Amino acid sequence: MRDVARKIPSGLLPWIIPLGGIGAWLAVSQTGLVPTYLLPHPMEVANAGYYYVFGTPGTAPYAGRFAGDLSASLIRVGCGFLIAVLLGLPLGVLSGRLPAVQRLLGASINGLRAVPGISWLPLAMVWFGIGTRTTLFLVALAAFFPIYLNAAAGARQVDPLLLQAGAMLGVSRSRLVLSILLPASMSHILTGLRLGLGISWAYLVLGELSGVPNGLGAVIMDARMVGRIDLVVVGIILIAAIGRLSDQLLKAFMRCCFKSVRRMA
Amino acid sequence: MLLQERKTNGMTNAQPPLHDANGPHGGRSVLEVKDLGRVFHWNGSAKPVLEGITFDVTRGELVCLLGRSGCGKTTLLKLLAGFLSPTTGELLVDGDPIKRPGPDRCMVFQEDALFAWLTVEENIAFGLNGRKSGKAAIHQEVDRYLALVGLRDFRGYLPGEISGGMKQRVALARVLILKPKVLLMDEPFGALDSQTREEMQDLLLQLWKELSITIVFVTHDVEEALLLADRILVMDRNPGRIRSDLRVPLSRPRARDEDEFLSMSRELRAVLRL
Ligand SMILES: Nc1ncnc2c1ncn2[C@@H]1O[C@H](COP(=O)(O)OP(=O)(O)OP(=O)(O)O)[C@@H](O)[C@H]1O
Ligand SMILES: [Mg+2]
Repeated sequence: MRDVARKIPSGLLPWIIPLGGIGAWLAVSQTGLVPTYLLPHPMEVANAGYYYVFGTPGTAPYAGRFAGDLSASLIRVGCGFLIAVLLGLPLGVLSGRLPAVQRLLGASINGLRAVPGISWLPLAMVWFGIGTRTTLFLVALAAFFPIYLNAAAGARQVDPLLLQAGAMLGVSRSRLVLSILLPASMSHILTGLRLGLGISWAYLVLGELSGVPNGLGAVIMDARMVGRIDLVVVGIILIAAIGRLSDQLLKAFMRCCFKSVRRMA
Repeated sequence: MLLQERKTNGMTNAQPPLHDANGPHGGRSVLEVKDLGRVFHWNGSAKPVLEGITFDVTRGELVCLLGRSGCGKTTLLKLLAGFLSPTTGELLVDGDPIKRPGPDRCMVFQEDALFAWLTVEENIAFGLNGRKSGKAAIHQEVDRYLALVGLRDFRGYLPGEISGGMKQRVALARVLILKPKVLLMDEPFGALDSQTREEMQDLLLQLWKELSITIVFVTHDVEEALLLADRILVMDRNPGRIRSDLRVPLSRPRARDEDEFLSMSRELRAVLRL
């Protein structure tokens, strides 16, 4: 097993499962064992994907809609995620360091966390109507929990000795937070951000399924209603790819901005 | 008796210390500890950890606190550093009461307390960054201290990439660069192998001479105390008190295998066992 693993260049490893999946899919579709209304042929999907992404708008249904849908979805995920970060990070760090804040927030947040996100959907639709604001709410809510919890865990595990050392070296309170507390919790914080961003995409689709006119989730729902199963698959693949890409971008951004990420994580 | 007993038990201030030329409250006394006591509350009961501790440290002196595990050495240093506040008594640095941690009383910890995300160089510069000196001045100062502790070639390394001895060199440099009035050291070489420990002891003595620092050095190692100290404060347990205040009359540089050194260490061991 080891020998086999050594012969495969490690750059290839991540591609084995996706390529294998496509191969199996191709094989199944070629034999015709599964009807195309359940699982369309890969070529059909590729074709639909091509028109969806590169087609001239108006030449066919969904042609060229990708750019508009993508930007709508990106804005929703971006804003929702940003709200979650702005709330989750400071509250998390505070409750990790201050027992009073932890006691104040801990129980309530853990209670809310146990509620499945989908059960917020009806309430959100009543409060915010169908559209961007509901989606934003769902994304922000879902991303908040991992960001908050990991920031709290990160801040809690910081060795008090480091803070004492900082105080002894003459560091002011505010610089203590920025130059010791945050870097020392950074690997937890980064984990929280990545989990939060990942779940943002899941809840984006949920929010957009509720009937907004544009967005990647909306396309999936639309396409299902009109029986374009190939486009549903295109939507799924695009969201997977963009989700992965956004994770990479987040990591690169954090690396770029923080020494502690470059050096520790 | 080779080691010379000094006055203890709260009398140090009533009487001018032997080496003090400037009168009873001598201007040269950097650190004054007067009748210090600290009680810890634990499971509802009050436990006196330190009681009636009185001593003072003169500028440029190297004082060792010697005592067995649990006698309150770390607690005493934390009080001096300002991480803890005393239950009774007074702590003065240059005549001012100690209220909070500050760069005039820096500590080298028993454990590794470096910032793992900063390089050797950045760790050493850390305390200077908040001050109003230019980048170039900071850089020059850091260079000087890197050279002093012999870490020139390791400036770009992270703490996780260097040995335990080197880490303690960084810990030493990052506080020395702030020119503290008193350097507090809590068994800083306790976790090192014996060869590295001897290297570090030599380095400390060399820096002490070169920079004329005032040092309070905690140890439970008799040889280490004899090798380093001008004065040794031997501590009792339960509650922690200072049992004797001994002057070490050995000339420097000291060697561990001299007869005088050996007989003194035997004597000191006996004092410690009492
Ligand atoms: N925060 C605390 N709360 C309660 N008791 C404490 C606390 N800190 C220290 N003690 C007690 O005070 C006593 C002295 O502890 P200290 O750490 O000062 O000893 P030490 O001389 O440094 O020992 P060692 O040589 O093992 O480092 C111990 O009995 C310890 O249990
Ligand atoms: Mg100790």
